Formats: sequence, C-alpha cells, structure tokens
Amino acid sequence: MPELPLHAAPVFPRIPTGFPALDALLGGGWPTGVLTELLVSRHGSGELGLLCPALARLTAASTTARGTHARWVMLIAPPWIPYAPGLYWQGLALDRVLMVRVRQPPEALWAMDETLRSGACAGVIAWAGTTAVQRAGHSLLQRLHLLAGKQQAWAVLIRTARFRRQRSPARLRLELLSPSPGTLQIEIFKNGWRGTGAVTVERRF
Amino acid sequence: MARSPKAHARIRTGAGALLPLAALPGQPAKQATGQDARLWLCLYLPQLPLEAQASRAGSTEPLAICAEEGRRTLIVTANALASARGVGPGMPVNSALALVPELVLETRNPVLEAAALSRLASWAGRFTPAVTISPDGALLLEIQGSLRLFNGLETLRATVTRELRTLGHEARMACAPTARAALWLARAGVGAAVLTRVELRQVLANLPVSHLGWPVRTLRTLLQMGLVTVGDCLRLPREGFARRLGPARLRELDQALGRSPEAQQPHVPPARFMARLELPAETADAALLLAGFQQLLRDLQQALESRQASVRRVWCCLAHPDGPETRLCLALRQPAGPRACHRAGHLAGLLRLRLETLVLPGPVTSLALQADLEPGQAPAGTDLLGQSLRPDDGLQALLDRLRARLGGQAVQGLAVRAEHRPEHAWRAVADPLGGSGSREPAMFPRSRPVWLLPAPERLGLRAGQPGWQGPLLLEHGPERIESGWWDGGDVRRDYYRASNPRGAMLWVYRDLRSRDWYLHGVFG
Repeated sequence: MPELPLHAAPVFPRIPTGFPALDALLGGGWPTGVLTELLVSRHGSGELGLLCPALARLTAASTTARGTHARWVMLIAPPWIPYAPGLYWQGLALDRVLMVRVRQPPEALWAMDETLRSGACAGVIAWAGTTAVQRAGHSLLQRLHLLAGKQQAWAVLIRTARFRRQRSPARLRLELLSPSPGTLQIEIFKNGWRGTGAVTVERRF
Repeated sequence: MARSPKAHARIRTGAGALLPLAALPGQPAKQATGQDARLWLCLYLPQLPLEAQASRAGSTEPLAICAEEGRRTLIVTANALASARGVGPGMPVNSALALVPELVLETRNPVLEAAALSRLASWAGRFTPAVTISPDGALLLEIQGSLRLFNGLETLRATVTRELRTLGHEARMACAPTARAALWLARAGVGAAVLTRVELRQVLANLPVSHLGWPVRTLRTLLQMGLVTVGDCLRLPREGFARRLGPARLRELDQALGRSPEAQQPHVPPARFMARLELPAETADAALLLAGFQQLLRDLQQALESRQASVRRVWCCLAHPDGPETRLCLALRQPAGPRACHRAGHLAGLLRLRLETLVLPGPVTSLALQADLEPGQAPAGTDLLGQSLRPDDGLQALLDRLRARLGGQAVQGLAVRAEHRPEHAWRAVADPLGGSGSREPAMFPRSRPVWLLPAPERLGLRAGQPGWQGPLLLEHGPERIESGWWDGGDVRRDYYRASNPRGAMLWVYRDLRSRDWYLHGVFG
C-alpha cells in the first residue's frame, strides 16, 4: 500500500496545459492554488504561447452546479501589447481578459497581490520586472503563494532566468529554455512532491 | 402676449368656475375641474445639443451638431451662422457640407445634454416645486400655484426667458393645462398660452402631427391615411386608431387632452453631503490623516443610510495653513450605498491608496468631505446569507483599487476590431465590465502573433538581410496588407513570419514604398 504523506497538500483542480507531454509531467496540468514561477531568458520569448491554451480554457464559459459562468484572467505588466487578434485565434474569450499596465516594476507585484487577494480573477499572470522581485524578496512571494492558495487561483509569476538559483516559495518552478523556431523546451526543476524533468512541446502559431 | 389680460382674469375668478364642461361630453365634471386646475409651462430647448457643448456655443465658425439616424448621419441643430446659410435640422451631413464646405461638425453628446437639463431643472425649482424633465429635451413646470407669486403668467414667462438667456439657453415656451400638450405646442412653436380645455381642444385640432415627436414610420402611416392634424386623428374611431397606430399613441392623445392622467416624475435635485474636521494639530502624517477621514466617512455612511442614498464620487479636501487646499476625488464605477461603503471599508481603502502616493505641499490643518448624494441605492449585491449575488462585485472593487493607485487608464480590456491594418485590428476597452467588449467578426487570417509592439521597430540590415538579434530567416509569407487609403494612414506592407538564431518567432514586414524592414509583433 502506498504511504500517504503526513502533510498532504490540499487538492486543487488543475488546468490542462494543452500539451499532453507537459500535462503528464505536471500531474494533470497547471496547478491552481499555488504560486507558479516561470523563468524565461527574456520577457516575451514564448511564455505567453505556452500559457495560452490554459487561458483559453479558463475564459471559456463553463457550466457548474451553480450555473454557467466564465472566469476572468488578468495580465499584469505585459512587456508588449497582448495582441487581441492573436489571442483570439489562440481561443481566448477576449471579453474576459483584463490587462493592467504599471508605471514602475514594483507595482506589478503589488497589482498581483491585490488581484489574488480580491479572488475575482481565476488566472493571474504577472511579468515581474527583474529588479522588483529581487528587492521584494522571499516574503512577498510567500504571501503571493498563500493568497493563491486561499483563492484557488492560477497564479503565474514570470521572471528572468537568473533567479533560478535563488530560493523561492513557489511550489512549481520551471524554465523555458532557449526555444527553437518550432518547439519549446521546458525544464521543470521544482514540482511539489512530484518528479522534475524536461519536456519538449510543439509551438502553435 | 395678447392673451395676458385674459390670463389674469381667469386667475382672479378662480379655477374651474367658468369651465365650459359641455365641450367634453361624457367626461365626469369632477375630473375635468380637478385636472384643469393645473397649468404646465413647457421650456423646449431646440438648441440644447449645441448649448450643452458650452465651449462650442460661442463659436465664430458655422457649426452643426450631427447624430446617426439609421444608416445616415443627419444634422440635429446648427448655430446661427450655419442656419443663415441654409443648414437645418434633419438635413443629411453631405448636403450640409455641400452648402457650407467649411462647416464644423460635432457629434451629439447625450451625456452632456442630460447634465445640462438636470442643471436647468434644479434652476427651474425656484419657480415651482414640480419640475419634470422630459426625455425629448424639455422641462415641464407646473406653475398654476406660482402665478400669484410671480405676478401672473406673462411676468413669469418674461423672468424665465431673461434668466435662461443669462444661462446661455434659448427656449421655446408653451402653456397648456396638460404637460403633454404643453410639450407638443412648445415643439410646434405655438407660444400663445392655452388656459382652458376648450381652447386646448381647438388649438390641438389644428396642430400638425409632425410636431408630436412620433417616429417617422408612424407619421408616414398617418400621412398615408390622409391624417395631417391632431384633429384628423381625433375624428377617427378610438379602436381603429389604437389598432393601426398602437395603444401608446392613443394614450398620448388622451393625455394631451386631459382625458387620462399623466404620470410625471418630479426632478429631485441632488443633495450634497459636506462635513469638515479640524485637526487638533497640523500634521502631514498619512496615518493620522486617514484616521480623520475615516471619521468623516462614517458620517457619510450614516447620511447615506438615513436618506437611502448612494454616492458615485467623493471629494476629499485637505486644507493647508497657507496656499490652496489639496483635493482628491474618489471615483466609483457604480454608485455605492451605505453597505457597500461599509463593506471592507471600500472607500477608506481607496483613500489609503491615494494618500500613500500623495505628495502634500505642506502640513494639513483641516479635512473636509463632499459628495453628491444620489437618490436610491444600487442593490447591495448580497443575499441574506451574505453570499454575493453578482460575482463581478469583487472584481469591481478590485478595478477601483487598481485604478486608484495606477491611474484611471491602467486597467483595460481587449477587443478585436474589423480592420485590416494590424495596428488598428485591436482596441483597448476602457470599461471591461460594462459588456462593451464587442464580438466583431474576425477579419484577419490565423497567422497573428500574441504580442504586438507599441510601434513598429525598424530593423537593421546586414548584407541586405534584415536582422534582430541575429539574421532573420523568413519562414512564412508574404501576406500583403494594403489598406487605409481613406483616412490618410494608408499602408502597403508584406508581412512574414521569421525566426532568428535565438529561436524567437517574429512578425516582420517590409514597407513596399520605402523597402525598409520592420518588426511588428512576436509570436508566443
């Protein structure tokens, strides 16, 4: 009989990533209720394409016991303009997508904190400026993680790859390795109790 | 003017005593006298669309306000310069431009018009407590009880005209025993006061139906039936009229003649909440200031509770020992009632965010809070068990908070637009919760990136090849986009999907006129 861990993590629903190989490695999809840290060599190098299938699934109208509703997603401090026609073809319901622009990088984390605290958005993606997280440090990320758990939200913080060696309270940490024109290479180096590993997925245009 | 002595005479003899009831066969006498004791003064403002855009009212150029009606854009009203050259209401914009090529056109602004009417209604409150705003851009004043105070109808009308002019408005006036008839007569320009039912019936009988403000379709039907005046309509059998033109039109006729009651919603001027707090000592400490404001916000909450009112905007003033006071405006997207203000101290939370980023010019001596109280409360949004009925309530509060700190334009929604030029094929939605995010059909092929650069970035060339962090390899394309010649922003471009050695997938184009290469987007 398999042994249960003493402190079993609360089971939150997972959002299928849209890439079966990645789903298998993650254990069903993107985890909600925890902080996910996605490291990229530079902002805009393929991370939005990786997240799009899950964003499309979140914003699509779903029917639950309480009735039909679609959920909101918030894009915080995107590096460029999230281009509506492109997102449309990726399947996102645009009338459920919100975008926040900030003036200074630290405000991105403040906005993520506020959004998670409100519990009004099911998905929160924040592009954190490189300096911001360094200064704010561990305790702020810990708070973001706890808030994500409280609201069962899908919280993704996008940082540059040089933070890989820094400790982080994020339960899922993965890095987008330098992509090739047709594929994305993803290395998962922290995955809760599950195993780590690397996976290659096809890019979709 | 000619009727003025008669007006005085009627008022002296008292209402009802001289009523010729025979003119209304079949009507109970009591009802007739009861209603005739009213006199409505209508102020119809044909130039309101122009006057509401106050900055434009004194324009020295020919100016016209236009609005879309169906597929066409028609002139709503024109200023004196434009009217003198033949531009008039109802004229298609193209015809007006043919008459006056240098005509300045403004789009009609219903929000400004409603605000102007509401201001005028508050002003009209000094003549009578019963002021009604008609949706057709008119004010209706019930003045029977005010005639003695203002020395009769003509003096009252003269006063109203004079004061309106100083406020920058021109009105057509009419007087009638029913509000609807007064409105119709004012619109038709029948200025002579109609004081009795008999007169009213005669005057209305000669009134062309084109002045009733009925839809064009209805008017066309009437014309086809050979009906030109209200009198023609009144000669028809009631049932037939109601069947062909709708019971609502029949009811309007009855209301105009005083045969059936009119429901009038009196205008209630907004009440204003003002509270001031002298601080025990001068301070610039944000925590102390916030504590002071919290006390004032509690007063505001009590005021909202006792009046069953809500607020949309709260002004916070901080007075300094010298120099002008600092003012902050807390704007809410939805009017907040007392419970909404109380819940989680929403207003106090917004204020804290603003105070944190506020740079004060000096210490503060006193605080003040001002708010316009709006009657009625939005539904509190929670049921008895405290469950939120509207799931977007929390989102609303979130957007208010984000905007308070990051600026009013910081939070936006996204929508696609049916446009070929890539930079115009999307738009930011300022009010994403308002449901204005359109579902326009997509007019673009599938190969669109998820990122768009705010402005195309010109690419350097190496050995004739465009590059961005290394030479580009064109993978897909070209897709030619030629569009926009009509607004001067025309483009002629060949778009490609290209990759660079780092594996980035880019959306680049070659400008077909300058032959330069540009980076326009990045694939996810």
